[in-house]
Amino acid sequence: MSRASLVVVLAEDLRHQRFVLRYLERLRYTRHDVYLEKLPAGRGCGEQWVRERYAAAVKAYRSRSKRAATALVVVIDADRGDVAGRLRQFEGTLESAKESPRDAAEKVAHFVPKRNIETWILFLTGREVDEDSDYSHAEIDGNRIKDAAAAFHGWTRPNAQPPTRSISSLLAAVPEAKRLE
Amino acid sequence: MLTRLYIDNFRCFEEFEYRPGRKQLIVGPNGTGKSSFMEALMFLRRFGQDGVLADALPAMQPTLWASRKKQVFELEAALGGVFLYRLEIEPPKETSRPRVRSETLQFEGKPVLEFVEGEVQLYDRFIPAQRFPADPFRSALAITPLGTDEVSRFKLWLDRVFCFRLNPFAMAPRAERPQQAPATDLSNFAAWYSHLVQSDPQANFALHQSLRESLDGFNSLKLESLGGFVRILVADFAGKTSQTGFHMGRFGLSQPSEPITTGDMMLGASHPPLRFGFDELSEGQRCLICLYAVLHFVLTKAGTTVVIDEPENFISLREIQPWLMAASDAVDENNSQIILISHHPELIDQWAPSCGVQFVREKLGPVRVVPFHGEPDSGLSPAELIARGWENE
Repeated sequence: MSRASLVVVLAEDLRHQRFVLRYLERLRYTRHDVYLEKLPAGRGCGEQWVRERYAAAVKAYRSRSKRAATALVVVIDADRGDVAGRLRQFEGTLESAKESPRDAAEKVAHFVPKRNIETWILFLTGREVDEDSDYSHAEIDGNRIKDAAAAFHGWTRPNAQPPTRSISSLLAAVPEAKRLE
Repeated sequence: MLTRLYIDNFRCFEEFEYRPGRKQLIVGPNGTGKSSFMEALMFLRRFGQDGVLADALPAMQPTLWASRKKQVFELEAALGGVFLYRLEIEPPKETSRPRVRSETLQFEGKPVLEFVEGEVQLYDRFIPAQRFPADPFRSALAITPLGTDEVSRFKLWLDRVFCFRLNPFAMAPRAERPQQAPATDLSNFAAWYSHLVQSDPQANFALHQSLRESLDGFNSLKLESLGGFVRILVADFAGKTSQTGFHMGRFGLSQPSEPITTGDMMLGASHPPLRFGFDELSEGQRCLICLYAVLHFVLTKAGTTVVIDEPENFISLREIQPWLMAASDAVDENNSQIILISHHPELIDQWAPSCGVQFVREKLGPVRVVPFHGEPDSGLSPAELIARGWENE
């Protein structure tokens, strides 16, 4: 019998996927524990793609969570908006799909980097960044993503001290990550 | 890594140029030269190693509509500088054999080896050195011994170009002696594995870890002696059936007497373990074992280039993604290169947006390579787009 995946990742692009995968590795999830939702066909349409699939992913999570351990990680850039705006969009999407709002006990984590995932990766690997500049064209290799995920994992461990300096969207992701514990 | 392949006048390739990335997925309709691309690469590898042109497939199959009198193949590889290998073949005329018109190797635009008109000119640090006559039906590169830095580097890289099209029906479970080179269809997997276990126990350990995650109850892969030099590849699984359900297999394999343990976890402690001959495994299990073997023994080595034609054949949907993730990690971590050829939605959805290229032909004309662009506003996944035939609009 096939081993069931434990965590489903709905991401808007490859780098988002890689970051979450590396983070989940740190939480000791194996590749078989993770299922990556498909990516959109074209570049630049990822956030819409994620929003369109969000309600179905939550519904699937809720159905499965009744009988087995499962989790959903959604990762989407805030772009020019803000984290709260994205969360409101998700709420609206659930409401339209006649799904109840996400409750505090659900293992549904929303990672919303502002301005984009590259902002997080660069910041977590020691570069000065701000959340308004666009770093989406920054040269970022797999090792840097791995290091960034490891740093983020350090922030989210039990008893971890809050970082002395941070960016707001990353701080907002820490309690989201705790949902996966 | 392989950075460019140029083919002119072979099958559907006419002035065809392809510049692969480190990770690449080739998609395209049937008949667009995806498998022929791999065969051209296999030919160049074989020719550069073994050196015999006779019966070479490309020379037998020039482009139907082309009237050119020669076939041209070029390989470019970035190996601390750019190597350019160029081979011109004169296709056979009626009863004659195909012959080498010219064969050259350059490094950073400077000559390393030239074979023209039956004369080989070697260069030492780009200055003309040894010159000798050679058979125009053979490769000068193949007969040039390892020695000069550039020739050695290129030949060693060529040795690390692997092309696979797995065929589980051809995979023999017996190994008479270890074989260093895998066959394209991995029909010699047992013999190749016999070599690998001895040469790279660390990779073998990693292979076992991956297989324990992928195959329910899997414990180990081993070669069991059948007497003399003959060994048979067997797989041990934790037993899930009753003791009377023991299956001895047609080789009369001995069954493991001890319960199988995996790390600190004991598998099948209450059930007898089972031993299967490799050919008693399902086609999918055999392919999965081979795919993970390629991953751990080949792809984790820096500088290797692996091409796999339809790796997902026989593999269950659940197992494709974990292997793909592992392959991607192996390439990232080891600076190797992987080129996959596939029609499978799972591979297309995961890889096409970031590293997909399409082989396309118009009206049975020559093959062109175009990046996979997708359709941002369609709301369709890459595979859904391709299934509709809308990917090139």
